[in-house]
Amino acid sequence: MTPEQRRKNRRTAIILVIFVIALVAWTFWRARNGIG
Amino acid sequence: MSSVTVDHIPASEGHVEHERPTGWRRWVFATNHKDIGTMYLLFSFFMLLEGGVLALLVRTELFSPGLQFFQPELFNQFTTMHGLIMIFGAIMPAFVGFANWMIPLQIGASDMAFARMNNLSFWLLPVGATLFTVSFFVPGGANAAGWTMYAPLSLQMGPGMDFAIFGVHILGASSIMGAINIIVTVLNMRAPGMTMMKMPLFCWTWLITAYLLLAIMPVLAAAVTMLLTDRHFGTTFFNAAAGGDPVLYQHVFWFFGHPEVYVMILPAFGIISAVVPAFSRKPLFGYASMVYATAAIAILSFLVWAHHMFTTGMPVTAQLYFMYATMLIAIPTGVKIFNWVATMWRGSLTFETPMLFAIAFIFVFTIGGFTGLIIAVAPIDIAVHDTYYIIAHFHYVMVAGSLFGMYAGAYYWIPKWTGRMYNERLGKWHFWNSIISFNVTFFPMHFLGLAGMPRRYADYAVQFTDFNVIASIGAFWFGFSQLIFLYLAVKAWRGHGQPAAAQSWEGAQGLEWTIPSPAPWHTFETPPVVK
Repeated sequence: MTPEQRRKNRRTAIILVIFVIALVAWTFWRARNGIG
Repeated sequence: MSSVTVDHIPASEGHVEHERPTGWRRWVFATNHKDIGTMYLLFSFFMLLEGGVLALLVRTELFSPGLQFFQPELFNQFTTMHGLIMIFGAIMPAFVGFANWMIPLQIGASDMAFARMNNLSFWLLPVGATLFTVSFFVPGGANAAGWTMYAPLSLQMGPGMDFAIFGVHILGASSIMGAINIIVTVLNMRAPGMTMMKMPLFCWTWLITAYLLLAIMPVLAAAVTMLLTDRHFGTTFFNAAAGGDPVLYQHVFWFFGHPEVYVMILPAFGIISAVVPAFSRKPLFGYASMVYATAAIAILSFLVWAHHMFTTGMPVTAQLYFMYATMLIAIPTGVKIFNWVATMWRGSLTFETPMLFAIAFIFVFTIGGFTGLIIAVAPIDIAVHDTYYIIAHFHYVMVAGSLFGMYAGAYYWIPKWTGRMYNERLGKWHFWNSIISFNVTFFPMHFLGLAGMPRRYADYAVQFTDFNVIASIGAFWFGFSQLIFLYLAVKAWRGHGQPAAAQSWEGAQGLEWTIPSPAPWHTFETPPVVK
């Protein structure tokens, strides 16, 4: 794997991790506000 | 998939073989996708046996009415932990094992994108599984609230529930890491010329599954964390007495839970889409429509979660929406079934064990799909909710779907994994015993459910006895039949049987069949060029 390939992989993974964290936060936020 | 031709490059060109670690270090510090795939598959088979033993304990108690062997509290622990272990310990890790082994080989990548994270994803599994298993021995026993862990029951249980929550956290973290690894590998590490629409369908279905996992596992993690904080830190998300809402838990859980069903079936669709063309000696019919149908199923799976909750008292308009939205899923699923049958149409069919399991999958999974349509109808669902009809439905999907799909894949790729052909006669014995005993076990449960036998009870009214006896006999038959596969796989792994050729099956297509069998320690260090 080339260094450029590694950087590209890392960038993609960071975007996905941010999505995961945002989703956990969103779930708590929705639950705090109830179903409606 | 359009036909793929390759400028062949020797699979282990330029590699120094003495770098390969040996002994326990090879496995504990494994970063090779094939070793990690093997560990995933072994682990998941072990968990299949553990979950299977729990199922047999359940069927032992249900062999006759009245309480014979276990008190209801322990019986409920068995049913709950059977579900959790099979879903999070057996089916999901098994498909990640297939992904680890096959995705790099099918797209021409040298390994997974993040090899060390891959190691961590695997080694989290035994930790989570240990939490599940030892929870039986803590005061109050294991989680007995059902695999769904509905509040308020789950707020009231002993420390076994905390073990289950932590176990789900850990196994969920493993799944998320595995999903990130698969997405990055498929998106960024394909060989030159391997465009997305040339990828084998197994890679497509796993890519879509990985996105599903990323969208649902954080929601489950949040839901069980809320359970934990409600239990120990004074929050009241789900505690009605303090202004919380137990039904909220069901909404959050099923927002995870319904797509989770597709996490456990889409990779099997990918496997069947590899096996059926190989043994029909024809290209897959409607490749592009298969890709779009998979994506459509994934999207729809997020829009139907409350069909699990028709009995919670939701408005009729909501019932109607969730009923019709659920029925829509039959359309892309029907596209898939049609395409598999059309692939076989006028093909030069042979019926080796992988093909037998694939055809059985199509038949029996379709039965599970049809009963799914039936219980999508809200008035019917209200009548059969939490009965054995539901048990029958989802076992037709999870066992005949996921497990038979995995067996089709395992028999198909065992020659590539081990370098040996398995014993075909024993494979067929395994198949026929499994398919017959599976139906003996689960078909009568439809009748039990329609007659009103509720799930999650250790006892039942005497009129349900005959079908329960049949189901219990079938369950033991099915359970012991799986030992045939264990014997076969261990034999092939230990080097017994006919040596397998690189192209182990006449009609098999794809990059994995261009490398020797067994697949060398390192493959595609120099990427192949796909035309």
